[in-house]
Amino acid sequence: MYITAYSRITSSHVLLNGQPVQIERTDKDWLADIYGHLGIRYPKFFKMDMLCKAGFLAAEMVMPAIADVKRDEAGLTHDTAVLLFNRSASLENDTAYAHTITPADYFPSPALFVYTLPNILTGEIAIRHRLAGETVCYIDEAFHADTVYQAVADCFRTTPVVNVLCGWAEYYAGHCDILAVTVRRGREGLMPFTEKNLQNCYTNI
Amino acid sequence: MITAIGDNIFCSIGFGTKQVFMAICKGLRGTAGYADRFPQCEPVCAALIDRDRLHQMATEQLQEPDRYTDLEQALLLSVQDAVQQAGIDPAHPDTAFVLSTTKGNIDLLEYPDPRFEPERIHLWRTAQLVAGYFGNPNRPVVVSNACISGASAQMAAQRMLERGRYKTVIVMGGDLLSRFIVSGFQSFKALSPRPCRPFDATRQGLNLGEAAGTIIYRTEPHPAPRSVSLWAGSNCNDANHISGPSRTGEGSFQCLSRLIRHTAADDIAFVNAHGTATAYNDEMEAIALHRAGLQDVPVFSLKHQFGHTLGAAGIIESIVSMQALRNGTVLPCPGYENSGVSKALQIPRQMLHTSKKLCIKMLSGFGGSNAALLFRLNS
Repeated sequence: MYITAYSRITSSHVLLNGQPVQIERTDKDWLADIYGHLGIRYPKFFKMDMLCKAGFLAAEMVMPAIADVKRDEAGLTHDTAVLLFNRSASLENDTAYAHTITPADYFPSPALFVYTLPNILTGEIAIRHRLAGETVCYIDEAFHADTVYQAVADCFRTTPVVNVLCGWAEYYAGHCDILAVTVRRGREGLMPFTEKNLQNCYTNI
Repeated sequence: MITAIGDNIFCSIGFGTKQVFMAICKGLRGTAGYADRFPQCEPVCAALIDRDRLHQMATEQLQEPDRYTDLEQALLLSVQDAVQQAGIDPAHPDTAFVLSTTKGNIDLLEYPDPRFEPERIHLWRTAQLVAGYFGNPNRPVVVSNACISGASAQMAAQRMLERGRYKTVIVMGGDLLSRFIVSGFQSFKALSPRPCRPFDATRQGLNLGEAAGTIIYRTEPHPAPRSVSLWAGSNCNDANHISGPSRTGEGSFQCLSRLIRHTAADDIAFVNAHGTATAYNDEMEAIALHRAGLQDVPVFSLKHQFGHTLGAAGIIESIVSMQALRNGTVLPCPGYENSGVSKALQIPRQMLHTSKKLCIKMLSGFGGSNAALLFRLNS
C-alpha cells in the first residue's frame, strides 16, 4: 500500500503533498477562496455545509491520483473506497439546523437537515468523482493514525478495492482541520502507507 | 466469518431478543400515534421506548444511572443483557466495543442538561462512557454512516476480529427520537401519519422509531449448532444523490451481487429488506432485488413493527433475522396488502416455515449509502 497524494486544509493553511499552496484571499470566505484557486466549476459546492465544502476541496486536490482507475460504461468506479474520520460529526451544521426549530421561530429547513449527517460528505465526494465503492464515516475523539491505518488496511485486505481515499475531516465552531490521503494497492506512489507516514501527513504543516 | 454469541433488542415492543421476537410473531407492533410528544412538530406516528420503564430499569439494574443520558442508559441496559447471555468479560483487553449511531445525544443541543458536560454531545463520548462503564480498556470504534450504520458497524467488527487483535467485539447501536430528528423528517415530508406499509400500493412514508441493540461477535473455529454467523457484508455507494436512492438501485444491486457470489438464490431463506415504506426506497429495493436475481426469495420489512430506528436499525433487524433463521421461520410483512412497486416481490402475508440456512439483511440511507449482510445458520 502506497500513499499517492495527500492534501491538508486548515483554517489558515492549504498544502498538497506537503507543499504549501498560496491562496489569494478575497472578501469571500476562506473555502470559497480555495474553490476559486482550484479553478473548479461545480455549482453544488455552494449548497454544501462547511464540513462538506472543506472535505470536498481536500478530496478535489488529491483525486488526480486516481485518474487511471477502471470505470464502467456509466463512468462509475467500483475500485475506490472512501473512509473518513472526524471528531464532531456534523455538529457545525446541526447547530445551524437547530436554529431553524427554536420555539420562537419554528421553520425547519430541509436544506439544512440533509447535512445533519457526517456521511453526507462521503456521499458528496462519491457523487463528484463517481465512486461506487465502500463509503464509511467513523467518529473518533482525535486523529489517531493507527485507527485510520487499520481501517484502510482492513479494507484492502477484505475487498478487491484498488484505491482508498482516507483521512480526517473535521469542521466545528469555525475550526477547520482536513487531511485527505489517496492510498493505492501496490508499491508505487509518494511513500509507503504506514502509521508513521500517515501521522506525518497530518502533523507536518 | 464471525459468530453471534449473545444479543439484545431494546425497543418500543419490549426488552430482550426472545420477548421482542415472540411479540413480533404474535403480530404486535410498536408504532402508535403521538399528538404532542415533540413540541411544535406535527402529530407523529412513531415507535417509542417508554421512558418511565427505561428509567425504572436503569434504577434497578445500573450503577449510578443518573450519570447517564436516556440513550446511554438504553445502550448500557442492552449491552448488559447481551453480556450476561454470552457469559463474556466485557473488561477483557481482547474485547472491543463498536457503536452505531446517527445522532447520539443530539437532544442536548436543544435541551442542555447541567448534569452533562458539553462534550457529551459527541458520539465518541457516548461510546467511551459505555465501554468505560463495563471497564473496557480499548478505544471504541464509532460508525456514523446514516441508516446503514448498523451494517457498517458489523462489518467493522468482522474486520477487527479477523485481523486477530480482538477475540470478542461488542457491537451496539442506538438512537432515540427528539424534536431535532422528528422536525427534520417532517420537513422532508417523509413521514406516514399512520403505521407504515412497506412495499404496499398505499404506502405514505416511514415511521420513526427508537431502539438500542447489541450483538456480541467472536471468531469461532467450531461454531455451536444453531448459532448464526455473519458470513459476509458489502457496502456500495450509489454516487447519485445525497438524499434520494438511485432509480436503478445500483448500489444496493452491487451489494447483493457481491453477497450471492458466495451462494445461490435458491439457498436463501429470506431477505429482510430496509423497507422504510417511502415511495422511492421500496421501489429501489424491488429493482435491486430483481437485478440481483432474488425476485423469488421471500422479502419482508420490520419497519411496520419497529419504525425506522436509524443507527439501531441495522443491529436490531439483523438480530430478528438471525432469530428467524434459528426458528426456521420467514416473517410476514404487516401493512402490506397490494404491491406498490414496479417489480413483483414475494412478500409473505403470514409466517412461513423454512429449512434454509441463509438470509440477507439490506440497508440503504442518506449519503447514497447501501449495505447488505449475509447470515448463516450453523448446523
